[in-house]
Amino acid sequence: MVPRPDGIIGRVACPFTAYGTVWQRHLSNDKPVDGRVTMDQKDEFANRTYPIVEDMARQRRAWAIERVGWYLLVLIVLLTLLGLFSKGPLSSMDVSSPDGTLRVEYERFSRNGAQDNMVITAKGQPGQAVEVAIGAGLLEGMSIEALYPQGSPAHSRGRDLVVPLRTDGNGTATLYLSLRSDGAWLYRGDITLSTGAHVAVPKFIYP
Amino acid sequence: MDAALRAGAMYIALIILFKIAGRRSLVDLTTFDFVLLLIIGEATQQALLGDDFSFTNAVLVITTLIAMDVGFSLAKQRFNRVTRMLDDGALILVENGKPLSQRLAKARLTEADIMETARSNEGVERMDDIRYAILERNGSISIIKN
Repeated sequence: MVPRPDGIIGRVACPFTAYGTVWQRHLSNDKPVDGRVTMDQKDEFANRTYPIVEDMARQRRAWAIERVGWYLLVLIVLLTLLGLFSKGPLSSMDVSSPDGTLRVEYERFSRNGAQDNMVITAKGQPGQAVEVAIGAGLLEGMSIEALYPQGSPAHSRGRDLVVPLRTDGNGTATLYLSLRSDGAWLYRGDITLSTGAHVAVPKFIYP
Repeated sequence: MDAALRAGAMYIALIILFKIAGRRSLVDLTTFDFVLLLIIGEATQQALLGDDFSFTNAVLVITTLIAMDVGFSLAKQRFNRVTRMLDDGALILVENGKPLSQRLAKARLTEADIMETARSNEGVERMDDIRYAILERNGSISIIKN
């Protein structure tokens, strides 16, 4: 039999498709050329009714969702590597006050229950006593696990936490904090130096 | 409050993730799948319980999970649309000894996978002896012999 150009070799009622047509097999391969739907593909994606009733439109929609979902998963992994969910270039912040006397290194993104560090550096005259005030807005979302150096006792001012420090011979004082996040969502707080310098330290905590 | 929220959020997150992973993901356990399953279990456990290892918390989490599971199956019975959203229908993969290669590719399966199931479950040697191979809703492959 000479194959017809439209690929149909006959009109026989096919028990598996609604087409009533038998498509000629492409012997080379079943893959679609240049993205077009070949006749074989059309046949493969036709609904069968025996031994099970299929809904190929729904199935193909499910496959499409799976494909989109896969790209989404890859995106999430990439964002995780970039630090959107804490610890990475997007998350690690190094902010300073305009006059440069107060510098805070911290993680902008954090996760509930996870621990991260904050380093506060204050500059002043050598041997000067300075006070670092950590805003209540920040402390509401996290608890302080450790705080070094431990010098004179920290106290409160309003709802803020005030930590007294003494600068070294170079006029620098550094406060190391180990924080555990125990809230969720956005927390805004200021870190203020007794000289008046302050930086805003917004922090987002994932649930 | 947070015990129920944790369990509920984790249940939904896992449903979405396994929906994306496809139904074959954890049916036929290879060595790697087994390790994956263990890791998922470990990671989930931490997030479900938090740092509260009390009896009450465990019971609350389990109660929430079972309540959601039963709730979803009741919803599936009552609303057809929920079923359509959560479950794929069964899919024919081999028809009269002829593998439907486009469908296999879309379902991320190979002819070798089908022959493996056919051999181990039905003692079938050749593709020609398979009348139908059907990917079931739970991800297993049923073989109907000639």
